[in-house]
Amino acid sequence: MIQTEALTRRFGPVTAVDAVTFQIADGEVFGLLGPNGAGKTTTLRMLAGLIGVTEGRAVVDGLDVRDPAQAAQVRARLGLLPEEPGLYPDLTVRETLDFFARLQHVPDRRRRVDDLLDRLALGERASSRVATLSKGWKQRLALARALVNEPRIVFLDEPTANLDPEASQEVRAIIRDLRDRGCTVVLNTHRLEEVERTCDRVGILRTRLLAIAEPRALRRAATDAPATIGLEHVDADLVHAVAQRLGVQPDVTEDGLVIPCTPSRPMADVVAAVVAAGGRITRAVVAESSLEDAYLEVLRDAGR
Amino acid sequence: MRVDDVWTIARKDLRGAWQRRGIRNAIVLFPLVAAVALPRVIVFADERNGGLPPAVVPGLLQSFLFFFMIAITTLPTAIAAYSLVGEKVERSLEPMLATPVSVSSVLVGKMIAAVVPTLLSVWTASAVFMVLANRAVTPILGHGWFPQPETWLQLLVLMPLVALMTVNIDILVSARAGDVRSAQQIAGLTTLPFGAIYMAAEMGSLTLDAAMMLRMSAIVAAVAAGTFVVARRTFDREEILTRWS
Ligand SMILES: Nc1ncnc2c1ncn2[C@@H]1O[C@H](COP(=O)(O)OP(=O)(O)OP(=O)(O)O)[C@@H](O)[C@H]1O
Ligand SMILES: [Mg+2]
Repeated sequence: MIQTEALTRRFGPVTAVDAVTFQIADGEVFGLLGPNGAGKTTTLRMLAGLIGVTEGRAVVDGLDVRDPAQAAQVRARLGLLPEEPGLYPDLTVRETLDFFARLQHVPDRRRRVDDLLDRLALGERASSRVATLSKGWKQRLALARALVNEPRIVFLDEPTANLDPEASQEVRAIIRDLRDRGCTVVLNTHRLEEVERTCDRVGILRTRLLAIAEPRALRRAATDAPATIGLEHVDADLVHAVAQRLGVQPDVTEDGLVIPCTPSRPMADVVAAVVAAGGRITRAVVAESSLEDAYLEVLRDAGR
Repeated sequence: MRVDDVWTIARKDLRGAWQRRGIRNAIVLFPLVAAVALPRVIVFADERNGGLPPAVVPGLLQSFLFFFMIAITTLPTAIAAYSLVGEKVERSLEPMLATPVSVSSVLVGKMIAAVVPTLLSVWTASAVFMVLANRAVTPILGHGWFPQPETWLQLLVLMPLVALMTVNIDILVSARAGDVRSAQQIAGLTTLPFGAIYMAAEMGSLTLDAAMMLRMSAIVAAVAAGTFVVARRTFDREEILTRWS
């Protein structure tokens, strides 16, 4: 389990992370979503015991990261994929993993390295120099490096940033595999579709933690998903009648109406009202509010 | 600090540095070329001047051996530019610091990687130089001249201390320098005082005897200790992650 209480980090006058409190259960994939400079990297680094905590506390797997000795234990148990892969260009893929397996004091190093090469499909490039790898391969190697100590807790800082869609998909498959193996994953990202595809819960961070929810709940919470009703014919009488029945003024488009749906005014009621007002419907679509809308709304509300 | 971690890191940096042709050439060729060329200078001077007066030989040999101090101040910097600034530029320190390894292990591993090849190379070259120089001066003196007490002091005391001091300065410079070249240039300033002493000895305004070696060693030891304390403070997990950029 990972638990923070009013976790705060300041750099001189700049507050990078302000009183952030959350809990992440074992086996959960938790997304930290936020714009640039939101404090995502700073939060991960504090959790990994890499940089100090200004105020508040963080406990990872029962260890208090503020204590240097316990922080070292945290580092032994977790895998970290930093924002930049930070690989050694002159080492080969295998040498890279071997080096980190040594630093992690992995027993039976050779077997562990072979396992990882296999699991992350790096085998065919095992003796290639890192400098010759594409970004996608490098990222996969950086992931393998993070897993060299078989961590139960994995921190991933923007694992698919700068990757093409195919490489991103491969990385997401690896993250799902981690979840299937019961790992706890904290994933930093500013990509919404990533959160939606991989995370059980998401925290929206902008220095402060603005919201915490399941991606779907967050999406549902976004209000006023508009229903688009296509009609054979639109006239002022119809618009007036619909407005009276629903108590809301529809937007008129070329070939129909756009009417906001809410929990108290579901799609079915909207359609019924249009039909009762004499409208002849050609199509009816409710645009599900996107996670992006939800996200932007949370940020907007916080800005007020 | 753990010995196995220190060795893991030193070994990686040693191999990495050795794979760079520029560094390999600097380590192997620079001291060896000097070791072979300097005795030739004696032979040449002896032939041209119709025989060197025996009285000038000791001063000449002392200053020539001191020439190797220049290698001692440049080689660690060549390696450290790769193993420290290189890592900084590649941002490869963060993954390493995310392991349980202690920063002392990292620091000492990197110091070893810079100091050990330097000393091995310069000691070998000095030995070659002394053998060849002895042979060159035997016609003049009737016997060889090396080693003298100050020779041992220079090789076994002053050289290791200067190598350590240079690495400490390299670490301090690496923390601030943005790229390999500027790090090398700034750290290259450590060569200046030794170059100046070499020139002074060459011109005869300074005698590189045992007392002189001891005095220099004391000063360098103080500077090495001071810079180590500051380097150790600079080489801190948080410091590296938040300031070294
Ligand atoms: N070492 C540092 N010194 C000073 N300020 C810092 C330092 N590191 C981070 N900050 C500041 O803290 C804030 C949060 O930075 P952080 O890198 O954690 O954000 P992030 O969410 O990871 O952003 P990004 O999406 O760009 O990676 C920013 O305002 C940043 O400028
Ligand atoms: Mg970041």
